[in-house]
Amino acid sequence: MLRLGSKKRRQAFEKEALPHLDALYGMALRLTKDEQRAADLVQDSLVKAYRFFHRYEEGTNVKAWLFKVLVNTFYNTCRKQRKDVRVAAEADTEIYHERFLSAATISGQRSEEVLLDALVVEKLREAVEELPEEFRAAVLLCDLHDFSYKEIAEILGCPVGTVMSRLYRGRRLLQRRLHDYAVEQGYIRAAASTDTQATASSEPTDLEAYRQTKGKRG
Amino acid sequence: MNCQDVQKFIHAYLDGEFDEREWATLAAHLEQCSSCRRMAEFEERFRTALKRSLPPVAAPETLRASVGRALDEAEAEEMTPDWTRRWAWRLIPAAAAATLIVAAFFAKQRELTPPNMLAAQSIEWHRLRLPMDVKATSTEAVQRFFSDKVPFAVRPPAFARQARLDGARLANLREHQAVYLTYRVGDSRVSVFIFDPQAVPTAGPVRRVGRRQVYWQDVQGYPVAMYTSGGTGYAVTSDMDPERLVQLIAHSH
Repeated sequence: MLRLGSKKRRQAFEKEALPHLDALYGMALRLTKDEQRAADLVQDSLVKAYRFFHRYEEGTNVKAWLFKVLVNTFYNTCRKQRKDVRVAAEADTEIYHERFLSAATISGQRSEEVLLDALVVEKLREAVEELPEEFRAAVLLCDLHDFSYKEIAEILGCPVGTVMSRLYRGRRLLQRRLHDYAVEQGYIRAAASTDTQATASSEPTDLEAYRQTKGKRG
Repeated sequence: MNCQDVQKFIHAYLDGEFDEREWATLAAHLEQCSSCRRMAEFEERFRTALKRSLPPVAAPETLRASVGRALDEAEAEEMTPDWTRRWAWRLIPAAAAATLIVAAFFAKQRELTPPNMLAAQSIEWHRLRLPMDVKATSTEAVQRFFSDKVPFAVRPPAFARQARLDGARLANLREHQAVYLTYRVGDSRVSVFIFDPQAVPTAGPVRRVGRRQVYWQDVQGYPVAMYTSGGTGYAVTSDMDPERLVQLIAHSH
């Protein structure tokens, strides 16, 4: 049976999965930060996906599933690097947009121009690569691959609320990096310490939970 | 929607997660609140910069070719069930012929068995890293802690080698009580569910691991081994290499 079905399965797999090769490689490259390891990761993941491909029918979200396999395979093979997760778990209590917006610019640029400056963009790429793994995965899936929160939750195997929190913290870490860099480079002058208002409560909770409370209030 | 809500959900808004009504409420707030508007504009610009910093990349042509070859190999491997390569040496020669037939059947099943609830939850919990109810100093301490909490005997598996019991917590497998344990083995973590095998079904292709009969599932990269020992059910998963996990279970008591 397997023998008979295998040719068709191979064709179906190539048709469904291989169009995502570039996207998978892009994700792998940013997870592993190494071209050879990225290529190996993509290849291992695709073979794994192929072995399980019978579970997926045409029309289902193959892309999200392939990413899930890729991310899991990455976590399994690169486990040693996961130690950095703990570092990032410490809460960051400052709001960086405040600092950015209230910072005096030195070069006469406005903060948005600083943000979009090529050098800052370059720095941002580095900062993404330095993000702790779990935040990096969430940010990449959202900002690079445009997956929905639900899909990211599925891919990372965690609740939507956790996705939101990882995105929030990951982006905040990036903003901190960017802010420090902009100050360092003399794009902007550090703002006099802004009031670090209650940011703990501004961490997003699950959108569904929020919707329910709103619903009750009418 | 107030300023705090806006701060909480500005990402959800910019990520396109808001429905039309929520979008309108937020837009109305931004209309009249300049500080939130500035924040939203900043976040949006930040997002633009972030996207610009991550341009799409193309996979190298060599990868396309090597994936093709790897799939060829995977296809060829499926023609010969893989346990015959990895496991045949373990079989008692006299029983080999008969076992071959049974095992070939399971090797096919392996492809066809969807992960059951137990395997799925094992992996989910393994990844979640939930806080533990009890920090383990000894298996006795864990047994004592659960003695009046679950309706079955909690005997944490004693893995050979350098495995260290880390902690334990109460769990549910559907409506049935269970105990979840974590171990540390070198750089790897091992998660174990202990449950009443009468209440929680185990499923999957059967493998012989040491003297145990183990239901074995590979779920998206994670191996899960499920077995009963002395009337207690165990589900073991880990981020370690499946072959190492086999060795660990083979030498456990």
